[in-house]
Amino acid sequence: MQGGKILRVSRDGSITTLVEGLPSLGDHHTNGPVIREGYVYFGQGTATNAAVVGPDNADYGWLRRKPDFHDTPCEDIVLMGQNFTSPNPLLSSAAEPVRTGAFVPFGQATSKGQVIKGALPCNGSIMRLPLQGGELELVAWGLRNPYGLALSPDGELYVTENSYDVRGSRPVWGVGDVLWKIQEGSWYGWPDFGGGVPLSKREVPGGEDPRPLLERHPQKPPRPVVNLGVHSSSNGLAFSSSAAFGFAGDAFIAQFGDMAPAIGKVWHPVGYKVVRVNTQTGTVEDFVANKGKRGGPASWQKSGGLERPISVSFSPDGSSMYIVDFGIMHMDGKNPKPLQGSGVIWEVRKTTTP
Amino acid sequence: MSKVAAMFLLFLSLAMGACSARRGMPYTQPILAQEKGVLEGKMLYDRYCNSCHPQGTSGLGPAINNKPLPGFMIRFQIRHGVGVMPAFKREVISREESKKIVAYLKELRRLD
Repeated sequence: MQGGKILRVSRDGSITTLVEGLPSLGDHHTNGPVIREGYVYFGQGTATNAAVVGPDNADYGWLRRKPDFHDTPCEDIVLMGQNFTSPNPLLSSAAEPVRTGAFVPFGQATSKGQVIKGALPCNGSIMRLPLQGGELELVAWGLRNPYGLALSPDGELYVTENSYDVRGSRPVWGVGDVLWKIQEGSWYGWPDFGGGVPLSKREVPGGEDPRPLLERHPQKPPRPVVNLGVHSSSNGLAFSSSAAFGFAGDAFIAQFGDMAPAIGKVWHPVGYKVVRVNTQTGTVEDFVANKGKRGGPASWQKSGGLERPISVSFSPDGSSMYIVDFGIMHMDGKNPKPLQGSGVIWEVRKTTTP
Repeated sequence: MSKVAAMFLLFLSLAMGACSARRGMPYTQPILAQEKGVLEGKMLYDRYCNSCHPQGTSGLGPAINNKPLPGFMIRFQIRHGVGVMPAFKREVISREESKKIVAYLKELRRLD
């Protein structure tokens, strides 16, 4: 495994690699693609939860395979020099704890004023390259896991961002997923902001607010289009463009649902539905959700219906919505337990005037 | 803990005990009210509250679409926070805006 790739598949079946070696060897993968004006746009998630490699990455399985892997910024950054002490999962449990800084390999400390060189490809970004192949270009960065990319009917690029978890050496509590309208060249705040708000302003129950990792921030992050549920795992994104379906111009987001308790505790299942966002007013409504006294996946409600919607798309004429439902995936402590043969493709059509 | 906060927590616990069993059920119909304050309240709610109480249901925080709290108690909670819920200062959510959020929450409850 050498990282993510973007491939072009031609009608005759031939496959061409446009780019490879993308930094998706860590927690989050390469996402997309979206095609606009001769370019293919794609998202690249971060290696870690909050820029510091830690024991959670050993739990995820990749730290032992790739002990030197870490986040790469898109532009040069200057560090505050914060280091985090953790057990060393690469050695025996009796081994000495180690100190790890941000944007460096596990076990490597950093110092105040240290410069981390930016490079492409980078983590936590949206990048693009010409459809026929060529140089990578940076579109936006500072995005923890830019998951669902889609173009609105008026051609603007939007992305869902999976936000922080309460795990690892720098756990972050209480930051919800968001929908962004992408402004080219902008920085969206990771790893020091969540949803456009400084993490240092968050109140962490029983703990310290995460302090900034960066000495200087590239800019003040924009404001999200909408704030979505904490741990909702807001993933797939599509826009309605047809009166035949309704809600033309609105965004639809497939929420995979929380992975508690591995990512943090929740009061109640979060997500497990498709929501509709009015991007003009920044408001969100449930669109497809299981009925019941308590919302949640069908297997939890012991009923039929949605389990873990992960992607959403419309038919070419816009009259039907299709939802990819991953199926049953329970959490067994830290480990996900997917159930084979439980996935579903749902079709949603308009039957009455909304 | 101040007497005011203690009274509030007591009232809150009684109110939570009195509310209906519906903690997570989403409203399947969108808010239809055309009143400007309610609509603006919805926009403010989605900006400041929706992350922890998605559409009024429980998530990271408890459900608030079924709590029979009077408006002044909701505004108190917005301003001072309770438990792990952060306090929102006037510079973030103004007095007028907090009233609009309450108007929206009351509209949610009316749909119950």
